[in-house]
Amino acid sequence: MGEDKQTSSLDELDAKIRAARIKSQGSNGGKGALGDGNGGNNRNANNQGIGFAFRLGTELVASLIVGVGFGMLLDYWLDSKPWFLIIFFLLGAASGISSVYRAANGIDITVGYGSKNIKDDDVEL
Amino acid sequence: MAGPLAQFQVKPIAPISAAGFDISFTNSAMWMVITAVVITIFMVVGMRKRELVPSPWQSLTEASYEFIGNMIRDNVGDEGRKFFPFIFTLFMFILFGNLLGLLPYSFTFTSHIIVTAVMALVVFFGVTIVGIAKHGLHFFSFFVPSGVPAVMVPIMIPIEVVSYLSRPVSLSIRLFANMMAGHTMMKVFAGFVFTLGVAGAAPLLMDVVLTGFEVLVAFLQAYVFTVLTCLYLNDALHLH
Repeated sequence: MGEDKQTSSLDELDAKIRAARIKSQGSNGGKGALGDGNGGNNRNANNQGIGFAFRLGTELVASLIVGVGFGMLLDYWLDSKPWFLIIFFLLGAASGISSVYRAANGIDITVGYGSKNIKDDDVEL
Repeated sequence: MAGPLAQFQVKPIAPISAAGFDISFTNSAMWMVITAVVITIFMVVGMRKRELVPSPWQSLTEASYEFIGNMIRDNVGDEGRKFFPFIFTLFMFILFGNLLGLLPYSFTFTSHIIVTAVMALVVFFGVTIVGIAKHGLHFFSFFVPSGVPAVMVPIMIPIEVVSYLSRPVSLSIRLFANMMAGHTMMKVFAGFVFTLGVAGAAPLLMDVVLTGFEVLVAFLQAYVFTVLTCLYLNDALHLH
């Protein structure tokens, strides 16, 4: 195969790829293929629903585990049963609920801030 | 017949003990080694030819690279680039661990909370260290949500701290619980296939469906673990 022929066929391929890319972007409403939330979100909304529900559940349980565990540990150290357990149970419950609230609102689940940089629903799994 | 939970039993293959600790090479460790070897083969052989028009295998390796590359760019931004090797390794290890665990007679190490907890703790401490290294003590302003009245601050800080500490717990529980629940359910249905005789076709069919579902869960959970890692990294790098 000659050098010339190869480069010209590559150019053609390049043009084809570009055309296909523009086309696919057009049908996506200008969104990129990966990561631009909304398209992906509609595609498998059902699967994401299950994943999202599961995430909210673990978020609540994990905060409670940390709260109760920390409370029991402090009680064990300071011999102050059951006061720290009670306090940290309530704190754990509060942080669990606030995490779930943030996640459900599409605000990032993390510690105390406003909406995340990227308005990307991909994340809500 | 083995019970539904027998599949999760860790058995020593080569008993080793050092300084009073049992550090035997177990079936769990063996499957981690197999996973690492399979990933290496997958990447190295896939990229060996470096064709301009990729073969199906090369496309797969390129797709996995681009998938993580895009994930980091979308969720962390340019500063996340230097963490690509870590996040890519994490994703491939979890994904291949989940998928290889679906093979008959294999062992799913991601269904053990000690494995997922170690990965989550590495992410947790890594992200915290990155945050403190970048922002110094200013990092702790993290625990005071913006726009909170001064009266509420003493209550909000403990809540936020607990919420921050619960990250590795929720990260590890999510992966382990998903994997363990799925594998147990498959085994329970498989147990019915023999005891029900002819009617055993129904649980058999259910198992076929569940296998497909488990493949989905394997991908989904690997994805969720990595996406949350990216998000945590983003928080640590860009304090709000």
